[in-house]
This record gives sequence, structure tokens and C-alpha cells, in this order.
Amino acid sequence: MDNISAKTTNMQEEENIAVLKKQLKKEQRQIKIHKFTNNKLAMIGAVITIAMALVAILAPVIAPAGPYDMLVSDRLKNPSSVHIFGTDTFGRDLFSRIIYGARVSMGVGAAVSTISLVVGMVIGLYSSYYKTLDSILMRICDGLKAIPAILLAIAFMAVMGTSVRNVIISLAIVYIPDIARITRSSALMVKEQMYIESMKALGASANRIIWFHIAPNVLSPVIVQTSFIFATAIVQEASLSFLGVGVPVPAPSWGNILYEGKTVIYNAWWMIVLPGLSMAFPVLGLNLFGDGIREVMDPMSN
Amino acid sequence: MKKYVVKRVLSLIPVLIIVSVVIFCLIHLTPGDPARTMLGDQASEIEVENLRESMGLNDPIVVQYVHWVGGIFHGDFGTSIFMDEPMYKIILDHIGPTISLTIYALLISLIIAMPCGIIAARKRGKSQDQVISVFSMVGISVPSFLLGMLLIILFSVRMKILPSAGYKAIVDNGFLKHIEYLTLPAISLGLMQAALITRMTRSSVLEVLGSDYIKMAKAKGVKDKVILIKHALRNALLPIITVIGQSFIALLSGATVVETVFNIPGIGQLVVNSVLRRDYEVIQAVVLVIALGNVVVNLIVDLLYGLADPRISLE
Repeated sequence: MDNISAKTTNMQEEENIAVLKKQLKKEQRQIKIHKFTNNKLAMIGAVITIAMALVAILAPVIAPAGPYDMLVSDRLKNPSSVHIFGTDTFGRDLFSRIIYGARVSMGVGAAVSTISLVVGMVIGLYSSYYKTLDSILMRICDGLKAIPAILLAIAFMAVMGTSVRNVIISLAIVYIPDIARITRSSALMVKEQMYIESMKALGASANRIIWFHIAPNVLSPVIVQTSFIFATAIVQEASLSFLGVGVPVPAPSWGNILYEGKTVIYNAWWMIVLPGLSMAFPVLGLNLFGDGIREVMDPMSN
Repeated sequence: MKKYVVKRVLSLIPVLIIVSVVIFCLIHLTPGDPARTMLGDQASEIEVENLRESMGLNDPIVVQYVHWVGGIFHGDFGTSIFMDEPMYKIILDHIGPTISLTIYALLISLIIAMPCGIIAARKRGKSQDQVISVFSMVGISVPSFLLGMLLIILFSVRMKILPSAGYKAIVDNGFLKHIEYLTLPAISLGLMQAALITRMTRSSVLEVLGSDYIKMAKAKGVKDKVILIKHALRNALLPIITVIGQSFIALLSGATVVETVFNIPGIGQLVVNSVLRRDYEVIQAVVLVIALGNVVVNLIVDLLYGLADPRISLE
């Protein structure tokens, strides 16, 4: 009789502890969210990023004209009530082109950061777990990182030819090593923890340990890095297009618009200033956002 | 220290092998026949075949690689199909303006960043710190080629005080003209790096200021200025050395885009023109030279690390 009641109290206690643990976790999460929402700059960053993403998605609704609609009589018109951002050398409405440009440029950024995130994490996680794989993959990453990003991207674009798809591929190749390195170094630390060893002792498979127990614990630094890559990819796409090796003209990417702007820099300031600000805006937003998450995740920053 | 140097130099070998393989493979990524792509549709079958032969494209790929690497060891970086000069001369002709621009930009960014970073760290959380961090955030978000064009609009088109494009070599036009033409490009190139270095300086000075020996010095009654210069800066120098090393390479490659904006006949313009002409071997050679430069700079930084902090070379 005594034995049974002792068992039930034991079980109850365990349940209580489990409930408490859950509560604790929930509270910790709430504290983190609270810290993030309290971080004004990070919130501004998030709002800017989401707003720009909405602009890109809703481009056909927002833009007053199509990105390719030309009106030759309206060439290089100053910003006015008809064309709030003015017109370009072909008489296209600049505001509409910038709005549609958000689709191309933000789209490239999103695609590059997603691909680098997924591929980089796979590489980083597996190389943290298998030593031989590690030495091979990390040497390749070192080699790729030895070549400056923009030059490597230019070289890839030169041989593959200009297209949106190739811009995404070459920028992804450039940034995958970044994610791989960060994933690997955090995963190596997680791997030393007791619970991973216990999982091994229990006979869990490598894949299970990697994906269910290591991956969730390396996510925060990886997400921070991904938001920076998103921002950088927008800039790099614009740089490539500006150099004539990115998104082919006449597609409305911010880099292409700026390239056209350069040819009329002496008489059409709006062709540079307005698309330039439109590009700097989401880049700033993503940088603020990434900084904000980093501050929330990193206890040392307080 | 000797052991450390040897170890560091040996660890470069795998990196160099990977770099060379990546750069070598570049040309083989071309869809179709690289020789045909380089010469264009108008070239005759015989011309294409001749180019294939002279580029060695008919050999097995391993033989091609060995030839290419062997050539590099003999100072042969390939041949340009458009410029009738040896590759090293083509690169040497273009590297002067780029190096000049890079050094100028690095100086500008250090002059701005070091004081800003230190002030931000000392006045942490106060208005000065906030102003500096807002500026550095904006600085990071405005790419150099955009800043360059904005500066042209402001200083060349509107105020007409600085030239909007072009390059004047020191030898022909004197130092002042040289600097005058490079000022706008150097500012546009250097400001983003200045923002990055400011942030780095701030956080490393902050880290040092929070350490025990600083508290000890404070407790002893050492003056703030002495603490900052004698204790904090010295120990914050390590990460700063790294940043300067990395900045040099970042600026060197960033110059590619800025040179196009300001029409400076440097490495960047060489690369862009070669891309448009499909002169692949020039691209390969330039990327290789800059990657090698990067590896060497990183090596120097690591060795300086060893000198600045003896603990590192003992490990």
C-alpha cells in the first residue's frame, strides 16, 4: 500500500516538474519576444522589411503603370503629380519600375538567403558530426572564402551568362560557406553537451541527433547571419546588375535602374536618388532586424 | 614563434589548392564550348579550333589543370585573347590605381572609425553612442557605388568642387591632382568600411573595459585616459588588426564596382571589360591574384597576432 502511494506521489511530482519546466520555457520565450519587441530599432527593422516585402508582393496593385510601359514623349520628366518619381530615359514611370524592382531585387535576396540557409546548415551540421567530412568540406569553404564575394560572383556570372537564375546561383555559392561555418562552430559546441552524449548512449541515430537535437540549438546565430545575407544579397544583385553582369535589361531591378541612372547623372538626379533610397531602405531594415535578434539571443550583450 | 610561422604557412597549402581548382573550373562552367563563346558566332570553325588548341582545351582536364598550375609557378598566368601583352604586365598596368584607391579609402575609414568606435564605447548608451550607431547602421546599408553616385551629384554636378570621374597618375600629374581625382571614389569606398570598423572597435573596446584588470586599475585610482590608452586600446588591438586586414581585401574587391562608377582604369575596370569581352583568362588571372593577395594578407594578420599576443603562437 505504502509502496503504491509513494509511486503515485513520485509520478505526481514528476508531472509537476514537467509542467513547471514547460512554464519556464514558455516564460523564457516570452521574455525573449518581449526583449525583441522592446528593442525599438529591431522592431523598426522588422516593420521596414515586412513593408518592403508587401510592396514587392502587391506590386501590380500599387504601381500606377507597368514596368515596361513607355511613353516616349514623357522622357526624363522631373518628379511631378503625374509621375511622382519622374520618368526614365525611355519615358517609363520610375515609381512603377522601382515597385516592380522590389520583386526582382527582394526576390533574389530571399532566394539567395533561403538557399544558403538550407544548404549551409546541412553542410555545417554534417561536418560538425563527421570528422573526415569536416576536414574536406571546411577546406572547400576556406577556398571559396579566400576569393572576395563580389569577384567570385562576377566570375561565375561571366561564364554562366546573365539571368536572374544565375545571379541567385552565383550569390548562393558565395554565401553558403558563411552559413556552413557558423552552423558548424555552434554545432561543435552543442555537440559537447551532456544530453547529446546521453542520446548517443541511448542509441539514437546520427540523423536523429543532428536534426532533432543539434539543429534547433544552432538556429539563432544562423538566423541572424541569414538576415545579413538577405541584405547583402540585395546589394550584390544591384552591384552585379549595375556592372552589366546581373539581371539582364530591361527587367526592372534596382541595379538596372541605377545603371541607367548613371548615364544621365548630370541631368536626372531622381534616377539615382530615388531607386538608391528604395534599395537602402530594406537593406537597412534587414540589418536592424538582424542586429536586434542578435542582441536578444546573446546574453553577453546585456 | 618559428614553429607557429611554419605551421601557419603549411596550413595554406590546402586552401591554395582549393582556390586554384575553383578558379580553374570556372572556365569549364561555360555552357557549350568556351572557345566558341569567347570568339562569338562570327568566328570560323578553324579559328575556334585554333583557340581550343592554344588554350589546351582538347587535353584531358587533369592535364589542363597541371599545365595551368605549372604555368603559374613559372609566372605564366595565361594569355588574353584581346590584349597583346603578357598577363603579368596587363595586371601590373591596372593594379596601380586600384592600390592607390584602396590605401586612400583604408586611411579614410580608419581616421573616421577609430575615434568614433572609442567614443561610442566610452559613452555607451549616451547620445554620442546612439548617434554613432545610427550613422554606422546607415553606413553599412548604403552600398559604395550608390554612395559614389550620390557624391557625384552633390559635389560634382551641384557644387562643382570635385571631378566626377577620371584618374590622374602621380607620375604625370603630381600628388595633389592624384588625390583630387581619387577623393570622391575613396570616400564612397571607405565609408561602409568605416561603419564596420566603428562597430568592431566599439565592441572590442567595450569588452576590454568590462574586464577585471580595468576594474583593478580603476580601483587603484588610475586616470580614465591612461586606462583607455595604456590598457584598453592595447588589448582591443587584436580584433582591430584583423578587421584592418579584412578591410584591405574588402576594399580591394569593392574597388571593382567603384572604379566603374568613377571611370578609374584599375583592376575593377579590367575585370568588367574582360567580362563584357568574354576574355576569360584575364578574369581567371585577376581572381587568382586577388585571392592570393587575400591569403597573404590573412597570413600576415595571423603572424601579427602571434607577435601582439605571445600566447597565440605558443598554443
